[in-house]
Amino acid sequence: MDTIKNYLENLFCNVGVNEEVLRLKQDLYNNMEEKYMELKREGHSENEAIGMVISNFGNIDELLKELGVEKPAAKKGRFLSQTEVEDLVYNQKRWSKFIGIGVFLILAAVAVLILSGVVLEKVELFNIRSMSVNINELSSALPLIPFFILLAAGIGTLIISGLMLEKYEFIEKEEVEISTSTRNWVEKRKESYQLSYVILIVAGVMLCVLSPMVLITIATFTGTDLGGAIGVASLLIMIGIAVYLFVVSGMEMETYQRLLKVGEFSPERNKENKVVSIVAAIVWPLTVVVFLAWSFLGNDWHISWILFPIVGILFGAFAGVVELIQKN
Amino acid sequence: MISSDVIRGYNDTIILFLLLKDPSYGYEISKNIRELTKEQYIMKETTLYSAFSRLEKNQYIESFYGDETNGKRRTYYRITPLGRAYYQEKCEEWFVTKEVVEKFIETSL
Repeated sequence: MDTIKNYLENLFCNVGVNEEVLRLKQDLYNNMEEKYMELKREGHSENEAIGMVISNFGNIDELLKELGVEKPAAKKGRFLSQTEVEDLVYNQKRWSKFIGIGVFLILAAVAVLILSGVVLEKVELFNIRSMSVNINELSSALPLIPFFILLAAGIGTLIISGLMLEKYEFIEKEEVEISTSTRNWVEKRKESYQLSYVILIVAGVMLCVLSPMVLITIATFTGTDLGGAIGVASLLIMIGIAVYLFVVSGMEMETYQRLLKVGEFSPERNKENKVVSIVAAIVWPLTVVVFLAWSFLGNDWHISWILFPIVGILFGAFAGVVELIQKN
Repeated sequence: MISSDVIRGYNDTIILFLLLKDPSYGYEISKNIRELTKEQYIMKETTLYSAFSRLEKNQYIESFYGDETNGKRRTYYRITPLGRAYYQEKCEEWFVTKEVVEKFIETSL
């Protein structure tokens, strides 16, 4: 009997509830139950009876069309099958790691640049001064080589993962519909991911909070340029790891939330995010340009990194204000 | 078993016929159809209830709640005068349809 009840509930799960629909559902259930009882009386097994009742049920769309209630799934956007959703979740997860690695590589590039600049200066002081004249020029170019290699690797990784994820951009723009069983699958995955998500975010936040302390500690204890450079480099590496954790965990959770359409991923919210993301696309590359120009022209590597936290805080405030304005 | 495509235009007629004498309810009607046709035609649940809905909208039948039996309230249907007139019309239409289609039926192939 439960099988029949579940069967009906499933068929009606996407249908808006009104009195007519409720009555119809009850009538259908009574009907099927009566038929089932009779088949049992005639000597059919329980499974046989259920099979016969369900096979004679017919097509629910025929009935809904007559009632003038359409399945909401039929009207709204794109329908995703179970395989498509699995493919989407798998690839988002996979390429989010590459995005995280890309960002990490770029931060590592800056760290290496700072470090090698100071190291070379020291080396220069002790050894190279006595050697040929051209070494000076060489030494100022040397730190740039690992920097550009890492930077290129980082940007390349970002571009490739961006291209690979382009295919799935529609879940940010279009309404997506999934079947009940797929929805259950996504919900289960989201539930089992919840704990890892929280742990990863907390770890990321802790890295961010600890990173300036590491910088200050190393810089104070050593009291040298080299110490300062190591401190800044480790700060950048820690932030790089934190960003990786944020990106990977955030994107996985975001995929589930988008598929389930919970929280901030309603269509209106997408518009707000658009404003912020357009500004971000301008502000952050500009920050990098200013950072590089300032550092190279003024040779102010020891302080120019401060640009990133400042812009970061300002940008966070801006995003918050945009959200507030659009909410009202 | 008859395919539902062939008989579609006459589902309403079949249901109205079974309501001519007495009011009835879903299961009884589908059971009567099955028995009268010696299981050659079994009307699907969804077809039956779409027909109820359509017939009620056109005021050919009315629904009412029957007495409660074992805690269940059944929805009964009764034919209206409009429904009887419609049934007559459909019967006449059938004679013509039958005549027309038969002209194209060759049994001695």
